Amino acid sequence: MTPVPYFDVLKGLGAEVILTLTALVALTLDLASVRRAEMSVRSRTIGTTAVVGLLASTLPLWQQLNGPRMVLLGGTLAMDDLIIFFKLVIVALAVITVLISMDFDVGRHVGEYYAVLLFGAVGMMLLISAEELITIFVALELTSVSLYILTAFHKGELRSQEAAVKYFMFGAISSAFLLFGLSYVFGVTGATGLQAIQDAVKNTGGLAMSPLLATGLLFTIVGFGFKVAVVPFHLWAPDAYEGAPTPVTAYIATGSKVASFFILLKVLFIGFAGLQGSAFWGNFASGWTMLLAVTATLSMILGNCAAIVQHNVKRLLAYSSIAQAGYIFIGLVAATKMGANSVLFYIIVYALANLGAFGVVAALSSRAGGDEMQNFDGMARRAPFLSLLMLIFVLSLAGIPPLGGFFGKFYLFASAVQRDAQHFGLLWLVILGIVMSAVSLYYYLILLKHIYVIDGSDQSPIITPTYLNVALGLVALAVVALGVYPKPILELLNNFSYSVIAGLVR
Amino acid sequence: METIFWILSAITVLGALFAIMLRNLVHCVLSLILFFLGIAGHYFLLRADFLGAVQILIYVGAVAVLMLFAIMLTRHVTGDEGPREVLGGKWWAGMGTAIIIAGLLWAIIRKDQLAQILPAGGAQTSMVEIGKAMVTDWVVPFEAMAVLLTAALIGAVVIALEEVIRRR
Repeated sequence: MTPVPYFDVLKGLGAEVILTLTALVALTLDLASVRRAEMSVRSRTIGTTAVVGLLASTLPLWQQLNGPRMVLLGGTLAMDDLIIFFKLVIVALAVITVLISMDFDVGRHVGEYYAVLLFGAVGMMLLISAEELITIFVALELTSVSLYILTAFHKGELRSQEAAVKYFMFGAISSAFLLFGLSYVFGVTGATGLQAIQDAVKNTGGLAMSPLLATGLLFTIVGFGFKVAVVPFHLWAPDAYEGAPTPVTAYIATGSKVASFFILLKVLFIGFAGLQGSAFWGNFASGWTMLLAVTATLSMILGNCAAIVQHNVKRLLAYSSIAQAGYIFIGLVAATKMGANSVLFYIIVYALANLGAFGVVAALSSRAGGDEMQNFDGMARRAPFLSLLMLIFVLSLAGIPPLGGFFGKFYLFASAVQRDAQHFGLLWLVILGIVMSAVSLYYYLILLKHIYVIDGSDQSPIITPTYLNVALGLVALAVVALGVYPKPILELLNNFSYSVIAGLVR
Repeated sequence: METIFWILSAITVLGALFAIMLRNLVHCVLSLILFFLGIAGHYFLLRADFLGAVQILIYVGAVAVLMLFAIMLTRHVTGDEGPREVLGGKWWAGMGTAIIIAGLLWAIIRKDQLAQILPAGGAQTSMVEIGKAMVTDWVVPFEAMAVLLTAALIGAVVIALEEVIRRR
C-alpha cells in the first residue's frame, strides 16, 4: 500500500476546510451571542461571517493557481487551473447568494440557514474537484441535501414545504437512478476513477458488445438529467423554484447547476469518451450524444413553450432555465474541445444572469408583496436601478447582443455547426435552438413589459440596501463584460480545458 | 449454493411484492423487513459479510423499526380501506417499464460476458480492510460524508421544530 499524501490532500481541500469551519462558526455565533438580537442584526452579523469565510476560502485557491495538475488518491481529489477557476466561480455565486439572503426574511433559524448554505458550497466545490464516481456521488448528495433543507426554510409557508418535499422526493429517486447506473458502470469496467473507466471502456468493445454498459450509461444520464432539470426529468423544477425562498432558488438555479454541468461534462468527456455515438442528422448511432440530443430537443421545446403561459416570475425563470439547460446540452452533443469550452463559458454567463435575475426578484418581491407578474407592474419607476439590472439579466438570458448570453449562445451553436461541418450533421439541433430562442424572446419581453410599460397601482419608491445594489450591479457588469470582451475568459478556458478534454479524440 | 440462492431470491421477490400489494400498512412494512433480510442473505452469499451485517443492522434494525413506530404513532394510516390498486389507471406505464426491463435483461444475459466481468467467488473483504480503505484511499468521500451528515442533522432539527404554518 502506498503511503497516503495526507498533507497534499489537506492542502487541496483547504478551501473546503475553511468553509466547513466557517459554517460551524456561524452556527455557534448565532447560538451563543446574537440569538436575542433583532432579526436584521442577526442576519447581517451571520451573513457577514459567511461572506468573510467565503472570501477567506479563496486564499488557498489563489495559492494553488498556476500549479501543476495533481490527481490524488485515484481521482478522489484532482487539482488544476480549470478546477480552481470553477471553485472561484462557486465562491462568487455563494457570496452573492449570501448578500441576497441578508436582505431577505429567511425565518428565525438564521445561523442554521447560512451554515447549510456553506455546506452546500462545500459540496459543490468537492464535486468540481472530483474525478472518481464515489466522490462524485457523495459530493452531489452533499449539495442536494443542503439544497433540500434550504428549500424548506420558509417554514411559515405551505408552498415552501410542498416544494421541499417534491424536490426531496425527485432528488432521492434521481440519486437512486444515478447510483444504479454508476454501479453498472463499475461492474463492467471494474474502476471508479474516470480515467480508469475510459481505459476500461476501450477494452469492452463499446455499447453494442455490452448492454450492461449501455444500461449503466443510460441510468447515469437519467440521474444527471434530474439534477440539471432537463425534460423529461424536469417536473420538480418549477415547483421547487417557486416554493423555495428566492435566494435559495437563486442558489439552486446557479451554484448547483454550474457544479452539476461541470461534473457531467467531465463524466461524459473523460469517463465515457469512447461511447459518444453520433447525433448527426441521418447518421444516428447509439451513444450519449444521441441521448443528450433528444433531451436537449425536448427541453428547448417544452421549456420555452411552457414558460410562455406562466404568471409567476419565479416559475417563468424556472421554465426558462429548463430551456437554457437544453441549449447547454447542444455544446455537450458537439463533443469537441470547442464544445466543452462553449459549455463552460455558457454556464458561467447563464449562472451570472440567472443569479442576478433571481436576486432582483428577491429584493423587489419581498417589498412589493409577491412574486407574481402584476407585482412588478411599473417597477421601472419604483426601483429604476434594479429594473435596469433586471433588463440586462433578462436580455442576456434571451441572448440579445452585446450581452454575455448572446455570445455564449453563439459560441454553443457555432461549436455544434463546426462539428461535422461538411455534412451539417448537427445543424438540425442548432436551427431548433435558434427558433426556440426567438420563441423565448416573447416571454422575456412580457416580463420586461410588466416592469417598464404597464403602470402599477402602487407608485411608492422602493429602497434597497446599498450593498445589495452594488453586488447585483457588479454581476450585471460581469454579464455585459463577458459579452463585449469575452476574450480573456475564452483564452483562459482554451488554455486549460486540456484536462477535461484529454479523453476525446478531437 | 445454487439452492440457497433460489430460496433467498424467492423470499426477496415475495417480500418486495407483498410490500407494495398488501392492504394493511403494518403488514407492508413487515414484508419490507422480509425483503431487507433476503437482500442481506444475498450479501452473505456473495461473501460480503460486512455489507450483510450492515444491511441487517441499519435497514432491519433501524429503518424498518422506525417506519413501524411512525405508522403506529400516526393515527388513521393503518387502515384497511378498500382494495389497493398498485398501478391505478396507469397499467400502460407498468407495461412499458416491464417491457424495457425484460428487453434489457435479455440483452445483458445474451451478450455480456458476465462470467468474465464478475469475480468467480465474489469479493472477499474483511472489516479491517474496509476500515483501512476508508481512511486511506477514500478519505475524501469519507470526510464529505461527515459534512453531509452534519448538514442533514441540522436540517432535520430545523424542519422538525414546530412553527405556525400560514397558507398562501
